[in-house]
Amino acid sequence: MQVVKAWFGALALEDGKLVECELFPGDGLVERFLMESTPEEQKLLDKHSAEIAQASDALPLCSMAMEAGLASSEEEYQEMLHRFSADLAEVQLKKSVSRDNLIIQAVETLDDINKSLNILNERAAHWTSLQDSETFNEQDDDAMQKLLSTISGLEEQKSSLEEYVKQNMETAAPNLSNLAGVSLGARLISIAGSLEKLSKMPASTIQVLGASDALFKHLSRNIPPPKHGAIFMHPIVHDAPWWQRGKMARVLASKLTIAARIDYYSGDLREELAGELETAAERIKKRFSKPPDRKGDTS
Amino acid sequence: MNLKAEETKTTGVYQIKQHGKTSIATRNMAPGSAVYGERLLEDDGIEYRVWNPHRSKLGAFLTMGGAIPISSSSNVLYLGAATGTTASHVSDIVHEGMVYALELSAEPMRKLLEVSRKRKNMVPILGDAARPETYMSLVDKGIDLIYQDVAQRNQAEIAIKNAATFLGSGGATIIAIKARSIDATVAPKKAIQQEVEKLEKAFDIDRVKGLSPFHKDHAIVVGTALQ
Repeated sequence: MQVVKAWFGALALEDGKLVECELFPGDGLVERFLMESTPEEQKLLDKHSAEIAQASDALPLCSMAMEAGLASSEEEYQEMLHRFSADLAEVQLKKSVSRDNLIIQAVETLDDINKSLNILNERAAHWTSLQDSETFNEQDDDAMQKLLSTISGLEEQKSSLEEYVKQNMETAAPNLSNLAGVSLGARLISIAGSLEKLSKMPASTIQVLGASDALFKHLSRNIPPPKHGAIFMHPIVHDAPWWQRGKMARVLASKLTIAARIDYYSGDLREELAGELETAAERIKKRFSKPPDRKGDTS
Repeated sequence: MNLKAEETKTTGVYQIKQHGKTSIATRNMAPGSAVYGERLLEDDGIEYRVWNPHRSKLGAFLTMGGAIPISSSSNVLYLGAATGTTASHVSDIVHEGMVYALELSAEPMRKLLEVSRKRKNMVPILGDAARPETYMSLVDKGIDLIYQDVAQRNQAEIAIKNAATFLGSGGATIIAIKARSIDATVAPKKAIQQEVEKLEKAFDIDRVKGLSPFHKDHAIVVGTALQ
């Protein structure tokens, strides 16, 4: 005898046949279904001294539901399932929004704002260059002013978004923020898709996040791999001389991996990581202070 | 407007002619609303939704003359429904059956949910196609057709697992294969061939059709489950 959970209630099954069904209450059906251990399943377990099981095969839910009195026809069953599934999906969607989703949206908005600012600033430059003409009147000035105020509005929005990202990153991913800075940290989360996904990546992947074009070209052809992707933005990589960059990128990526994992699983700031990174960077600078002998050597 | 609508080999899919151009379309189950910006055309009191082969792989397959085993009362399990572009046409076809539309990601599910609310035969499910045990509490046994379009490396395993769990005897499975998802470094034809070989362990493959020029490096595979 097995007890299995269906969307509409708990089912007691013997050899795949329905023995008894405890329907979930019509009010709050979704909450009841989402409970770890429902009273309905418990009732059946006690009554039939059975075990909770995962059905090994799909069940004829519609006919079982009709047998249990949930619906009197297939159409009715379908209607109820249609409504339930939509409500369930809505609840699940609400639960899935977490801090890092918001950070990603903000960071991507910043990219959009920057692109827009570039375009609009260029346009404003063209337009203002016409300004000293004698044929200009107040109406023309006003028309152009509107563009300029849109631009300054966007600049304001950019600053406040940057502030928003900063605050959220410091709360949601303190170690990443400490090690990579809020904007690089947010960008890495955005490329990975979520903090969870970032935390599951090996250091080698984090090292080249953002360089996917170069990476695929390397994988499919006889071309050397990229040494760094988005992490190039970190001063420890871009300020280093060309022959140290690969080593810096590797070491930075390994520390970032640890930072991401701490952030995802606990969120406690570990200051030592920044220190460890500095130590490793110093070692590299000392050991490789001179460029290699052969200039074309990229190994 | 006279569309000269004629049903194709596939039930519920009509060929229509407008301004000298031929397209395929389905009869709108939720008249008055479009799902992805498709054209809504009225003919003799019936509203048709033009099926865009560039936006939908199944649409491309059908436009190229392919046919699928489906009827107006089929129960379809759609794995990888995304924002509901193709799933909505399937819903139009099975107006007396059900479409269980499974999607893994929250973003596309938001749109899918909107689409589903307007169609009483659509059941949206936020879940992972690789783990059928997680949606067994919602999906009925005796599914007639599984349509799968998930860009995952282990597509073949996913198809086999879902067919074993849900497909009734004589049921069919249609899989949209994206060569680049299987192995981005192998030639597309070879990647598709590899997947078909894996599928042959559990299915009798009826058809493998490349979808060029509509969808480059994609193919549709139609098969029936081996008993």
